[in-house]
Amino acid sequence: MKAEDLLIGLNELEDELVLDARDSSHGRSSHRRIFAAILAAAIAVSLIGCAYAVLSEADWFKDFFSTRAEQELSPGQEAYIEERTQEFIQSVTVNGYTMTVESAIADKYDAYIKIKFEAPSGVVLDAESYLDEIRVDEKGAPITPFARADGSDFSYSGSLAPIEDGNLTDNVYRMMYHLHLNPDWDFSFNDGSVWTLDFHNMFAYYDDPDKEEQLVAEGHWHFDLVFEHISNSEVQFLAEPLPYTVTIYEDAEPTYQDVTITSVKLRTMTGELTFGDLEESYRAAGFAMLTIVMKDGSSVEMGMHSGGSYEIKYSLKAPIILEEVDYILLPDGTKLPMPRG
Amino acid sequence: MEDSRIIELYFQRSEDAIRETEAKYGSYCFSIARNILTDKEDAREAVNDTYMACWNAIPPHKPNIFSAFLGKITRRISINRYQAGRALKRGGGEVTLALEELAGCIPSHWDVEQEMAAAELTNLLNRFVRALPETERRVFVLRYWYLDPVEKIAKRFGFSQSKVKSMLFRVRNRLRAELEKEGIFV
Repeated sequence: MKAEDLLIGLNELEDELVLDARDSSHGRSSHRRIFAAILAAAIAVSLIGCAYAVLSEADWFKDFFSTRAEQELSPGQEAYIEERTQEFIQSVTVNGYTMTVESAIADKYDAYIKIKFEAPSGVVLDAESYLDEIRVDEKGAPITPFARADGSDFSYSGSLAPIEDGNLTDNVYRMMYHLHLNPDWDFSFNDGSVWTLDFHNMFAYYDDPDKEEQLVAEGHWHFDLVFEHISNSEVQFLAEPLPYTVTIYEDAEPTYQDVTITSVKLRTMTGELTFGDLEESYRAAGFAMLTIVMKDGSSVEMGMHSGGSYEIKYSLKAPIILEEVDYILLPDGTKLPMPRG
Repeated sequence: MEDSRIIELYFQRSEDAIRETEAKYGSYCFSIARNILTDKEDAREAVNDTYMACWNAIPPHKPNIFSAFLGKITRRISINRYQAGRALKRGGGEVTLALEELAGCIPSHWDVEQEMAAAELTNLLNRFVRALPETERRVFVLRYWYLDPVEKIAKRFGFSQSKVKSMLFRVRNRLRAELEKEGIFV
């Protein structure tokens, strides 16, 4: 055997392991400890005060989730978003470029943070100009973009993506930072902790491989955030383990693998499913996407966010009211009814 | 566009499938190819070959996770091109360094009789990687699947380069022990 065989052998690594590494970011950072004292001082004078449920921000999130779920939201979902949308009045200006954390909505493990980036008048920041997107500097940043102010380690994944905000002003650009905490660690967005955002240097990236990334703005934009008004609701759908058969098709021929589902948890924006040992191909085919059917007949999908050998973690396409759930539909047609009480 | 919709386009034999694949995953595939192939034009051709291979594979194949499916094709095609390029002395890039590092995983008394079947090796590697602690697992996959440079991985995780190197060194030693433990070499 040669090293090349190992390299080639790795090509058939399970899809989930490949995706997990690609989506991973910043599991921990010892650098945070160095900054802890500075952060603590900063926090003392920083803006932790927030105002809640500003209708315009809530309306914006309603549109966002409706588009994401590709359907109209129910009155209950709209009410939930109005109640839980949190406005952060925090702006930092560096070298004439102002970053504003405008608002967020979160449950225990998922958070969507809406960010406005504003250049000096006359500077064009729109997507037409940059073709692709503006991102945080991943190469030169001394600390990770998202962290805990007390410096403690945790695991998360985050993606920063441009969003359509209907703003026609060239020097304004909006982004959505979607953060997903790993529930296996002892932290959640509703634990009252101070979380920090640190964006170092903003770059434009291009789809065209011939075009090099371009520094848009140099600087460091720091924010302290405390998430509040977060739902603690969580429902366990299984009272006892559920035998299940996963079916996949290879060359149009069905093949089967039996597995035991041991837990199905649902929250307002996230979910988790745990099971016995299951081959990767069956795992992805069997459980990558589940459907939550509401009492009014509408449905909301939850897609696999990350997964391991025995569990899959999900993000919902749109927030839900747990009391409005009728059942969770598994791919084979099995219905897991909402537990009574 | 949702992955499921793109896959539908392949099944409909619509050329929009390739356009949408390129729009959504072009940069992702290019970054994998570019890590393996030093020449930008080679990398671009590898990505084009990826689209063609994808077009030929779907249907009948229906990938469960489209991005991973594309990534694997890109990686395989790029490594093939790397091997061909090396024969012409045009090879290089991260794959050369990765191969040097992985060479340390091969038990020293390995011989032809101890060759593993490809499927057996794949199973062993999957078991091994899956069992690694989260951070080591991600660092290992980024280095030896995506062929990301150590410097980039270090920045991504907020580690020093030496920390990443020592982490990889420990994981490679464990992989070597795992290969030996398989009973192929004692």
